[in-house]
Amino acid sequence: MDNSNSSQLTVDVAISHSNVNGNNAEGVDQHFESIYSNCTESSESEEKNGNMVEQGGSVYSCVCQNKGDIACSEKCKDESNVHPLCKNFEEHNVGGIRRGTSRTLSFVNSKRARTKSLRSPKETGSSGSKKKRNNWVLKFNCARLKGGGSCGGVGTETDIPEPNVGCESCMCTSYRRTEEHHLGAGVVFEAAPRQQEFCPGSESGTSSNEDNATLAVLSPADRLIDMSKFNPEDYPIEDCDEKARQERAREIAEGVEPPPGFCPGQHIQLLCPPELTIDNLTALFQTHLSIHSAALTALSQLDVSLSPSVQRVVHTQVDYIHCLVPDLLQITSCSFYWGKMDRYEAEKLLEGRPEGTFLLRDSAQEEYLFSVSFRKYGRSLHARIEQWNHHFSFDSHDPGVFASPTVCGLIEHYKDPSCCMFFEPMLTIPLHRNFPFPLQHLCRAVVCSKATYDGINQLHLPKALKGYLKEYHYKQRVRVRRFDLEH
Amino acid sequence: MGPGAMYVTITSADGHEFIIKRKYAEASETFEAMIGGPSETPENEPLRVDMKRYQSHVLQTVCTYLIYKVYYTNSTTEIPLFPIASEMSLELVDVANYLNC
Repeated sequence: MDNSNSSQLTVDVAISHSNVNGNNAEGVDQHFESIYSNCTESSESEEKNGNMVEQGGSVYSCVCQNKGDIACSEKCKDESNVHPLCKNFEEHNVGGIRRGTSRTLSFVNSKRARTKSLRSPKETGSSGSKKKRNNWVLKFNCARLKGGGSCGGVGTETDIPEPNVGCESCMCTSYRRTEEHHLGAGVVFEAAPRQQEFCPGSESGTSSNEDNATLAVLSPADRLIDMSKFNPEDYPIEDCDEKARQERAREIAEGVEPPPGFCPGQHIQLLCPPELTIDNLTALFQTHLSIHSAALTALSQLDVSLSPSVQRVVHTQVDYIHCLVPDLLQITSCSFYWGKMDRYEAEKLLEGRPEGTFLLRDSAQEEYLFSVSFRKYGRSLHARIEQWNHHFSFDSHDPGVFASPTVCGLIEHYKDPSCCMFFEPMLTIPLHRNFPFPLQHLCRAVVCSKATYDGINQLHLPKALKGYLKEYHYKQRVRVRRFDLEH
Repeated sequence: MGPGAMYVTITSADGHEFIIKRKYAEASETFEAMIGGPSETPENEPLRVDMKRYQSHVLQTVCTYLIYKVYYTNSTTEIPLFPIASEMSLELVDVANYLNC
């Protein structure tokens, strides 16, 4: 933790104390109230006398802790010049560095107070200071503030009492100027480092001033940002994620680069009659019947005669390559894959199941192959598995979302709840299928694991059977051709 | 025997006969239709199904699958994958398509 952080931490704690002070101990128990009133008294008496508190930096703290108050009050009776509490705790000041005059009031816990009250004040101050400081250095890691503990507001930083375990504990820190300042405690704390300069006879004055230079409030001139030194290139404002998304959107619109050896299909020109009416359709049908017997030359004449004025041509051609699902066999072997199933049936199966229960099923929508249905937030949710460039993910439009070359790999990734964002599927408990797949489906999975889409096309099988084997395939857009832009 | 027989005999192209329990054979819709309808089989004759288009090694796998299917239907345990040799997969998908199982 660096210097500024530690000071911030201290300030926060101190503010909370002063808030307690400001509340005038309402709702705090009687015990606390008595201690609190003592602190206030000491503040008032010192102000009247105009003694060390004002000289020393206008800020002092009073930290009372449980059980310590008994020792305090006993000691207070013997003191007359300085306020009893101040005197007492000056003697037992283990947080700040001991000096000639009292500027920091620290109520420490009773054990320390009692043992140290037996020693001489000087002994107590020096040895106690070291012990206490080490303690807080360990706890708050504020080693840089060593010198700052001597006086004023910063000096109280090391005087923060240990966290109180019991409810009997009482802490109150009073900052005189806090009460006066209309802007509240923050102003006082910001000004605190400056006040340290006025600490007379501080042993660690030099070092604390150096340290405080870093803590000091910047002058108005320093706060201004010199725009001439600002180089926008050093601070790029482009969002790389957004850039990647835009790139993906462009890819989706235009298609990816075709694989090596890609052979585009034949360019087919469509000829449509200018006005599609029943008569035209009838004529087209009759013409079609005659096509079989007519010569090829006659066909071209016929087309021209059908559409003499307007000839519809293709302007954009979109090419897709079809690929079989790479891990259909692995998917089929998964106990949580249920095959064809709609969302309502899935919801019925998942009803009342624990969070993270999931199943994989075929998507009802044509453009998607699979969906997962899962329990999250006490509801049954569904997520489509999308594909882009031979990778499966739950959002193909966002390149930042996890994508896997296999469906099983995708499901595997979301098995770990720590990987799942709040809006992502959580697939931790598989819901086992309770029926075996048909033999046809099992055979298809095996065939698909060994063959390609084009390979199945070349098999000597009935057309319907080929279609069945190729059912689990995805379409990858490889290229969009704009004919009107090419010429 | 006959329409009330407990077993069904399946004959392959290469002359092998597979005798399986009727309840297993009925796991195939095609078999069920073949043996379930009005039969001219005499009372004392076993139910016979001719599968002369298919070889015995394929039919053997089909019979094993039918038993697997009945066994694991409405299973409460995780269902293991039915093993299929890739060399046989094309022939098997053809017969499975025919038997609708």
